[in-house]
Amino acid sequence: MRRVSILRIVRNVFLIVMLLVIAFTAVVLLSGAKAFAVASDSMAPRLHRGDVVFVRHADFEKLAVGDVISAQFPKEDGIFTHRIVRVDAKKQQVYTRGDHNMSDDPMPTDASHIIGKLWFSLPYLGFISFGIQNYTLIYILLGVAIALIALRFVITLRRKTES
Amino acid sequence: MQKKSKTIFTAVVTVLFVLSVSYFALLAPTTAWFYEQDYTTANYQFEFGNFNMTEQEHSQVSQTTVPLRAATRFADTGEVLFDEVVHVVKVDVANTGAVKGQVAVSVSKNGDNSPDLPSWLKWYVCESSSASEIAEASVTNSINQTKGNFKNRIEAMLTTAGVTTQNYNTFASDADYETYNATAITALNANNAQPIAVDAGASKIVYVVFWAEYGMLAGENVGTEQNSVRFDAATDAVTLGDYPVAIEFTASPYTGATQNISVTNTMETAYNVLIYLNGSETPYKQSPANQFSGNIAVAAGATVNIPQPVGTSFKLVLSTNTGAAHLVNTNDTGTISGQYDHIVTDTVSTHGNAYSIVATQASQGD
Repeated sequence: MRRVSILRIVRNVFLIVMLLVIAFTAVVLLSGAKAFAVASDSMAPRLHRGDVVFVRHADFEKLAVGDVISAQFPKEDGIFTHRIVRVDAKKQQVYTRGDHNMSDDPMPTDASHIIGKLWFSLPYLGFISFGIQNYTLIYILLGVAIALIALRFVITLRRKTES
Repeated sequence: MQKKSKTIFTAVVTVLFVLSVSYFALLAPTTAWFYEQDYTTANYQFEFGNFNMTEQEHSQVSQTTVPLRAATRFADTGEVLFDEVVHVVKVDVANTGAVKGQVAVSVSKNGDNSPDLPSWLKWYVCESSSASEIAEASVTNSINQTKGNFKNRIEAMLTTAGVTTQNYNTFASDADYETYNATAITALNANNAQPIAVDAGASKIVYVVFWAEYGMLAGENVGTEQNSVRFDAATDAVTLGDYPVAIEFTASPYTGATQNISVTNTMETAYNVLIYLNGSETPYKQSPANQFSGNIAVAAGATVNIPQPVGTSFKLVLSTNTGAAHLVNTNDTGTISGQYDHIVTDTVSTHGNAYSIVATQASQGD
């Protein structure tokens, strides 16, 4: 009886965690925000490697000095997240700088390359995407899923045995 | 029924959970440029990754002496001893950062206020991803020796640039040889102006190959010629001596292909120009500081080349404003209507941009 209760508690805790994660993800997706994993410390101490930034679209006219934005590199693939230090409304460009950098970025960013303005960030969540490259986390995720299903079967089996 | 519902519920929640975690697992990275990182150089090792943006460049100068054993010709299909007489500087370049970068090489004279190398001292830049890919040639002094790797690479570079390598003996005259040499050297300079890309986390070996170009070494230890290696018959020495150079490696974010913004001064006195890049209010400075400062000096009759990434917008300003000269696009006829130009705005094209400093006509003016 006692063992079944512990199993049930573990399962319920798992369920609650999963529901929270699902709900959080749903809110992010429904809000239209985009998420990126911070891969460098150029925005330290505000953002660190491993953080996840959530950005939402903002009209160019609403961007101001001090805003942190995510944008595409002008000439190649990739996304960077830096702080606006100057807005050129005439040219529809912004000049940016990483908080941890010694000077401004070498070229301005066109409005068309801006993905969004920082909404909020979460620490450490980005390491999930870093870890996935080694397939480690895939195996962990599969293990968790299998463990949950196995737990369910064990509980069901125990009930049948007792009844 | 209740048990069945619970089972289905658990299964659905599990699947949604895995999908949610997968969403975060597949997030695109947002990397960033240029946060400060210490770099170390030891002899001929150069590491860069994330750059100190104070200077918008991260450079390292290696001062070294180039021992020149003899003069030789790179534009000669019969040359088999080229790799023996050249001096090779090998530098390990490592990009330890998260952003693709590039390394540009420039060479100037060391220990002298005059930054210009003598016209006969040539250098060629090439790269390799591993030491085994290109071995420094160890060539014995034999006319039957197969051409070395560097000579082969230079010939391949010339071919790509549309310059066919030619045997010295096929030139009808010295003038033909000089014309051909000038064309080949133009291709060489263009090759050296191209930065070498280094992926994030990758490393490369950069070779800077020096030699004394035979056709431009007038009056230097001229003696009996043998297989295009010149030596002094009086002393039986095949060395021309040591030459001090400063080799500068400049790292920057990868920007792709570069072309020259060239300015030719047709006047009889020197003029200065300034270049502003990408709308910057600060004039462009190219290291080393004594070669291109904020004011770029263009000597009378000379041409100055400033390599820049294709697509870079720039403003070229004739900063010596005497009213006697103005800028024209070299491809134009030079006809100016009304005012003379001392400011030109343009974008670096795939073929480069060429301008000339020409005399202002009497009918023109402010």
